[in-house]
Amino acid sequence: MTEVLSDLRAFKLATGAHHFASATIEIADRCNEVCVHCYQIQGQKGEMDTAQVCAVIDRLADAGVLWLTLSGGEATLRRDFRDIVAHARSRHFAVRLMSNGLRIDDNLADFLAEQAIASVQISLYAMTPEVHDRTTGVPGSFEKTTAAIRRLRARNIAVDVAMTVMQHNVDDVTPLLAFTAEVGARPSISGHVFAKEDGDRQTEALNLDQDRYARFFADLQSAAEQQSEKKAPEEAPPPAPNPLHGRPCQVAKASVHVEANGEVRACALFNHTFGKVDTGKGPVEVMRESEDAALLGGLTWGHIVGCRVCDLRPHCHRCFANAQDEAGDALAPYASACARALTVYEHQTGALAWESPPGDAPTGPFREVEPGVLARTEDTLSAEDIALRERAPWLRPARNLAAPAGSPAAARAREGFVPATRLARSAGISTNQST
Amino acid sequence: MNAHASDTLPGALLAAVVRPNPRVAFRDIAGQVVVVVPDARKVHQLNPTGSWLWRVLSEEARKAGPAGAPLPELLRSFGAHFGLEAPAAAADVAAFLATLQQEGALEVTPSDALRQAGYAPAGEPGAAEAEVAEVAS
Repeated sequence: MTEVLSDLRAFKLATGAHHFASATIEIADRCNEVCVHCYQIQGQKGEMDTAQVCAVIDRLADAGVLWLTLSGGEATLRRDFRDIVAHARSRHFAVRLMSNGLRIDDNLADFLAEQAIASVQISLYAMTPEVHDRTTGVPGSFEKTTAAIRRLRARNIAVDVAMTVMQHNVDDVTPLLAFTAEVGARPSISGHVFAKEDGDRQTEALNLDQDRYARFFADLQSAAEQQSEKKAPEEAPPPAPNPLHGRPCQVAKASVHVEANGEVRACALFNHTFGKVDTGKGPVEVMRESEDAALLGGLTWGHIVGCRVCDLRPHCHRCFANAQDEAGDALAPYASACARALTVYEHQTGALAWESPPGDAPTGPFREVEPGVLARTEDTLSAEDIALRERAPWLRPARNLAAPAGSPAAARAREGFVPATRLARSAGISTNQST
Repeated sequence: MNAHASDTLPGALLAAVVRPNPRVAFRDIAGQVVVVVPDARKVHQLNPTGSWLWRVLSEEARKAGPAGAPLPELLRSFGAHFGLEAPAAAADVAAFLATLQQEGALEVTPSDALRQAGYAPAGEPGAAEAEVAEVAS
């Protein structure tokens, strides 16, 4: 009667179900670190009180959500943090916590173990204390964070160590992988820094340059290959060809995100609010009743002008939120995704040459002239593409068709300037409009 | 007509109670129950029959309080719902429960009740069929 599955991804694949199986609630709009790369702006949204958070948790349980991630800011800063965790566990959630670990002492670690929390994701940015502390802005944070990881592991709590790789900490990837292996934690490494949630793109300057990204990618590939040698061949993940009918991201389909103030979004990073939980609806109901959410959840590679004709699509891991920040258009190619796809392509083919010089920071679509040789190519807007853009201007805030004629946003969009959401807001264009 | 479970049950099961392990997470997702066992880092997806049984046992255990749901009652409900005679119901259910107990998803009190009665987790050599046949005769 049972089938043992390795993780929830396998469950989704096995059932093919369209179901909101996971949710995140940002329970704290504050943090005790001031990370240089953080996309969040703390202290302006406000926070739901205990009763409101618990009501959201109840709604999520009733809607069939199983995995619940509690995050912030720093979730453990809330005085009612333990009450919230206990309430979620009483509703039989598999609870995951995202934390920086600074407040996870023996007492809190004992509590989390007693509650049988499913896992804790701890942010750790380097194995060099000064580098980590400089990243978090908190002297001594390295010692506290690594101690928290060891405390949790000593209690057999699953720990994911999350590292955002940037220019200043890329040399710490290999030591960090060694640390996670030593303590029995799972590394979760991201090579992308997002713009701040108000559209400020200064944080993106911390991103790896192309050479460093290539080195980082090669290191990760090497580590992954060493890991896969330990597994049976059938356990190796299949390649992701990214077919046209496939979805670039599972956003708005299987998971829902609740901001600290109760706004319902598709994920922490995609800057569009579908509704609010204080209207008497739960987060899943908000998503299910939102035409915008249905539209976002239905977007495939075939909807993304440029990417749909790009021969590097099988190597691409684009993100709607990234595209919105960088290109001002969730439905357009954007430079950092193209750069990374080029790196992956070069790594896999062993060569990368251009039919004609592509210029700096080439952005797709690309055509493979022959293996290892690429050329820029073009795509054209169809009537369906235009209709989609008119129906959902919030997908492309900086190229907003709804931008008032003559407004700075409209002018800059015509010039190809990419101001992202901040400019759109400064021009008086809401990026959070609901249908 | 189904015989009452206690007519044919091994003695070790007559006083046994079961409940979901308080450490697990579970949810009925689109008609199928998914059980997460954090300590084992495993996710179990139950088939429709197993899902039905989990729903009943978790609800009965909730009503019964900390002790858990009486196993004979669970077997009776299962047999009645699926139209099975008690021995067949006992064999199916006991093997299933033994598997979940072994995986850490379920608590059975006394903890060795199923094994004492000859029921082994599915896929493990055991005397379930022989035991049931013996009891039935």
